[in-house]
Amino acid sequence: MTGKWLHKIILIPFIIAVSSGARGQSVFSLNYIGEHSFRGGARDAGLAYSSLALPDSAAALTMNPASTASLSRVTLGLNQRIMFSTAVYGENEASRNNYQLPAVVVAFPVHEGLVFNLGYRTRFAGKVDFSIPGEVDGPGYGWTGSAVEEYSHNGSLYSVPLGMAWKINKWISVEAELHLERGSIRDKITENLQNSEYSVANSEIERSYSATSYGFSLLARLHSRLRLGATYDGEINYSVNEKISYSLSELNRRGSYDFNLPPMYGVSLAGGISARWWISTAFWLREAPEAAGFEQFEDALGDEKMISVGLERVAGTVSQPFFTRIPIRIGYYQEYWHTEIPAGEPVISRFFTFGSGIELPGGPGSVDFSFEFGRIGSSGANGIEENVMRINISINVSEAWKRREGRRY
Amino acid sequence: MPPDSFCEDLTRDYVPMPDIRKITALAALLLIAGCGTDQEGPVSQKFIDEGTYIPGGGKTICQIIPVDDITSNIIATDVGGQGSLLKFGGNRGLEFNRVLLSFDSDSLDSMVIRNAGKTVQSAHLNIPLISSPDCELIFGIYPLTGSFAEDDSLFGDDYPEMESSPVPDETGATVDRILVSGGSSEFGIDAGVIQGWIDQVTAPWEFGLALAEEQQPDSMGFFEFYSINYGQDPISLRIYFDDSSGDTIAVNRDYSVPFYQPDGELAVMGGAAIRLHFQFDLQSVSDSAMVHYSALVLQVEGSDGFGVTVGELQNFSLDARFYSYLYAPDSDNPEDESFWEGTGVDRQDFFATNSREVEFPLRGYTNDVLYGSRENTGLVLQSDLEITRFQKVSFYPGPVDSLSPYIKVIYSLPAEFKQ
Repeated sequence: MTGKWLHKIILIPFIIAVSSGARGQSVFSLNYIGEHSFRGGARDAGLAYSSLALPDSAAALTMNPASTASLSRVTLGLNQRIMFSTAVYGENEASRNNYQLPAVVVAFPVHEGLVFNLGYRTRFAGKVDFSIPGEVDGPGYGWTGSAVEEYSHNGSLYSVPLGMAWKINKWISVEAELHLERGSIRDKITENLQNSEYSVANSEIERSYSATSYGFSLLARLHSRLRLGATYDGEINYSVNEKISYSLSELNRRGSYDFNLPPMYGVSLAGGISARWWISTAFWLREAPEAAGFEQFEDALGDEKMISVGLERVAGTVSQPFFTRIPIRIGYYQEYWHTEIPAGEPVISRFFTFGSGIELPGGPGSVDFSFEFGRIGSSGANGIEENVMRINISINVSEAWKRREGRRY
Repeated sequence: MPPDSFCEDLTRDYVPMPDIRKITALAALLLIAGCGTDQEGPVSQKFIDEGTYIPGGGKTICQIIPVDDITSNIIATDVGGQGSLLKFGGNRGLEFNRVLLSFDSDSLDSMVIRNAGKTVQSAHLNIPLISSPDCELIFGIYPLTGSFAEDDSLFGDDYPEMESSPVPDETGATVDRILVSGGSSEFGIDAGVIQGWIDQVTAPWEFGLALAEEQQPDSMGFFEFYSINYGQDPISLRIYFDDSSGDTIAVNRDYSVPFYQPDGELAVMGGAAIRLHFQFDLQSVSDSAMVHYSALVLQVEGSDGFGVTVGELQNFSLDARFYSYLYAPDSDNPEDESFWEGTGVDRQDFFATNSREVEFPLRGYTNDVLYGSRENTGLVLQSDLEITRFQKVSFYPGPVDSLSPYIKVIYSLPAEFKQ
């Protein structure tokens, strides 16, 4: 493998990821700023996102970026998420399948124990397209067709983290990040009277978000079988430019306001039950943000929090049989969304997870995969629920980083 | 493996990876797949119904705006003179009660010189009838006292004067002439009239003749003859002398003069050029209406219109559809010349004999009026064949709202993105 190929691998997905944005979120992501996309890859998903305290010296895409301080090779990580779900509202059901590329990270060791990271990371995303029957008021003799209201929601708040991870000693690694926060949320409604002679009427709002924020993370080895992980993402003070446009351009207007996303904290412990079996647990919290731009959620936003637990049998050595040496991961997490539907009834995700991974054939790297089975919301509490299966596939590839010699022909 | 070296467990000494291309291709496939998504269907309506997803679509309204005023406006054309067929009689409110005929004075003079000294035995006005309705048309033949030209625009009673007494028939009597379906198309002329020309005692008809309807026909339909514009079989004067010779003089100008009295009827005509001017007020439409569609809606009264006459259909296979043109006049005052022209709004064709609803989409006109880029001068509907063919379409004038002329505006109000 050459450096030329590694550059391509880095560049292509990164460009596509940024240009295509996040796609394929829960039907609940239609509301507010969308569905939170947690950091990490398929390994983290397999462990129910409890892996903040688990080191991973082979992956750039981890829940705890401080662990990248252990990387000794240039490493690319990307994660693809595929979601299948069935949303149920009363007697209505909608089966969905969606795809998303939530994160791409590249880590560059610049010195032993000092690793520079950059990438793309989706924070919140929502993509929901649907249509409902429309109504036309007026005398029956004036209108006899069928009308449809077509809704298109597409939102992605993403971050471009520029971080430096430092392995201070064999006990502690830390990482600091500068986040370039960007994104937009676009809602479009088309009143379609389904007649080629009739114009459609569009109403569209696009909110563009931009900010800069900071983040810190810590990975500490408290004991040979006890690890502590912690992460902090600082408050994000988004500047929001809002553009509302209609088919009738005379009605167009613009505005701007600030939207503050409070800081979030995550803490995790991992303990080794045996040499290969480790249990991990994590707690993650962000206080209720404000409803700026989404006034309908005034008094209906709560703290977002997640508790999770995972169990991993780490990978064995190459001398062991294949099924014995592959990792096994299981977990459970429960996440409270910011949104309460209705007010006072938080949307809760409950997921069981499992996963595994394999080494990349013949090369430094791994392919990890995980499955999440669970439910978002509940018909009893929220009036609507979504039964979900997610598949995460992560790829981490590495190569030695060395200065290429000049070639002469 | 010692537990305290866990951190290093996952760092393995891999051999160099041989085929990064496959990995790249796999990643690209995954990314491309990431561009797909499905429609969610009606489950999402819950969020709209309960207001957690705010951009609920604005209301869509079909607003009916009655037409405040409709006026019938007439502009004379020369179709009666330029057409290939002459029409005589009435059909569904359109009357042709005068057919004007003129002979070339040089031809008349040379006929007189050519036949000097002869004795006229008989004379006939030969009218080559090509279609006739199932009725009688009583008319008289009168010498004109004024001239006309085929490119004159004649309408109603705007035609040359004629003598008060008709031309006597072959018996010398001034009786009514009768056109009947399938009947004779030769009408005798008093031989003494022609003899006077030959003998140069009287001058030939200087301005020609008028076939003048004496009574309304008892049924609908036109008697149709070839016009000189058709190129053959024109109306002619045939003279027979006692030496068994004869002479024929064809008309060199002919004209069917149309007449129409609206009498409250809402009709648009071609040939006679009757245009309807619809005036209405769009003030009641919301200032923020996003217009999907707007139209002038009319109900055709099939029993009162026609798109083609029998003669036109049989001889020229002309299309039976009525061709219409709707425009926004530059002025709402018919006294202004600019009333008769404006910005085209719609053009369509339909059968004037079928009772049905016809919609004329207004396209950008409504938006232009609503948002101030155009003054609302109303709409004018005319025949698109106004200067080539006689056609007529009639519309139901009311009083039933759903059948009366109205403007339909279907629009949506803008979605509200804030509570």
